[in-house]
Amino acid sequence: MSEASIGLKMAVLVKHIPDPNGISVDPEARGPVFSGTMAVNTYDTYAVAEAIELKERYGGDVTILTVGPASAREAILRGLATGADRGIHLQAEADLLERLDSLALARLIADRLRTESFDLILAGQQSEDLETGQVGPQVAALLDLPHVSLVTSLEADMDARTLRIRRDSEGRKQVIGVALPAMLLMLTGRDGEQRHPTLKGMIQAKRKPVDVVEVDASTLGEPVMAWSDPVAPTREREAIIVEGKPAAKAAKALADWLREKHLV
Amino acid sequence: MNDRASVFLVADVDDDGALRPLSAEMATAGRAVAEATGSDLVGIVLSADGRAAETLAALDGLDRVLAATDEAFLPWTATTWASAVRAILTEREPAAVLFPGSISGRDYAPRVAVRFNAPMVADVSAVVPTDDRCEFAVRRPVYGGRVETTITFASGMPPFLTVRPGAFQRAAAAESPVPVEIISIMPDALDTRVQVLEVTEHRPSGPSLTEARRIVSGGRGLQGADAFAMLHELADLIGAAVGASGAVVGQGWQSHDIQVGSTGHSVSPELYLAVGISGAPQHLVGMQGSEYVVAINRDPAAPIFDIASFGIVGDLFEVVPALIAEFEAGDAAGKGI
Repeated sequence: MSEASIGLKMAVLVKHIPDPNGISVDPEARGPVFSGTMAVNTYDTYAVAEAIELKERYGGDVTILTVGPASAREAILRGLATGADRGIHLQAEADLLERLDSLALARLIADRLRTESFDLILAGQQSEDLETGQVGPQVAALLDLPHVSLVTSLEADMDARTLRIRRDSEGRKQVIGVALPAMLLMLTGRDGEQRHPTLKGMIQAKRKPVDVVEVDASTLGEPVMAWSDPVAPTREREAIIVEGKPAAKAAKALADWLREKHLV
Repeated sequence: MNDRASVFLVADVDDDGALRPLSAEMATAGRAVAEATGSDLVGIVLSADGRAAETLAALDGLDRVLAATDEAFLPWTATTWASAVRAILTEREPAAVLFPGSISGRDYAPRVAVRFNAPMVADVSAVVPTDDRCEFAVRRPVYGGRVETTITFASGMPPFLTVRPGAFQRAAAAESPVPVEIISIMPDALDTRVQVLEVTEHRPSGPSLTEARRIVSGGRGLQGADAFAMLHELADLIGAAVGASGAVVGQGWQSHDIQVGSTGHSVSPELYLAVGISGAPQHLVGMQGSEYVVAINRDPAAPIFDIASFGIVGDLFEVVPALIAEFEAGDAAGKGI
């Protein structure tokens, strides 16, 4: 209560994932093949951009937090390069992280966030690799914060310490009111914009503090579930693929096929 | 009354208080889990009135239904629903809990799982028998549904599951409805910190996306909002609804209510015509249940071709107008002009 309204102290959760556009399915082994390129989860980039926008408008600071191997530092640096202030890297090897279910991961994150009092925690709606959308709500529940998902934009009333949030849900648009502290899951960026790091930003990012904490595997407990290696479901039919030139011929072939299948 | 553990199913109810069809699919999935664990299947319905509970109780597969009614349940918020379900389950011993894999279910279920330290699996598409290490296993799609993984649980860990729309058959009507028990939740157990201040409904014109038999959907390849006029023209000719990928909505070219994908609608039409959509995972997961997928894309390596029955590798700005001309000519011929 004694704390003056000096802006928003924000944390943004980001995930470094295999580039979603670099995944193919091996026709023989029927398993996924990764290009090796990594990317920051797109929804998380919206959360980072929103946090920086809010900082510019209301003041405060932005901390980027990720859980991942040493290479995941890249996801933090990208946030720092676009205007975030510092990073927290909960570092663990990929084979350790693969054993974790969403709740174990959420506990790691919540335990670290609990040591500071953030006004606002932001994350992307879900990750594009595993797409569970569970970690965000679970972090919020562990910290006993209300959460709002599918957020498209928001504004703060800094005197009342409340947020007015716009979200999309099942064909409806809602305006939500919630008091700080709170957690938000971002669906889109402001005007669909992502912030791209500049060269100057990248240089500055390297000088910003990143707190690296090695995850202690002995605290994680026994796995509560096990996943098989992913396999492709068997395909029932072969595809017809035609060249788009000349366009009229391709269109005719498609129209004939659609009529033959009684789809039009 | 807790003579044996029960499998619970929290019904999918819309903001008008009506039971959604996904609830009937959940009854089928719930029955499979109940048989595997030797449990009863108990429905839980949160709503402003008792209509949805009556509808659920008339479905085959359930043993009984618990109905809690409160004005605070609609419109739905994740925090209110999570606190209500938590309060209901705390007095009971779940063998497993099924939630709808709808936008709402996927939002509040993880919060409930925290309270029970439960293993949680999103988007369950199948319940499968397993060896004797655990009573059942589940499957879910990953990486956009192009591959799937099978999940087993450590013993003594009742799993929390969200059920993927369109993956299970809808339960038929029961011979006679099962009993509905009205239960109450202490008002101070409800977490009402999130308040819905305004709701605006935005209905797209033409057939509703989730009910449409045909969908023409546009992606990043359309390069802007303007090219959607062309898709609407094609859609009108073949009686289709128009959809869009997440990339298009993220760019602000189209509104979210026509978005197909994991953060938009899950659709399963007879025909899904994907125009300029590369097939990013979050899109595929929302439309892979379509009976026939047709893809028009410049990039022959685009993942959308992996699930297409018919593909055209080419420039959509040439192919779509040619298709429109083709159907216009077909229409004219059909009318004997």
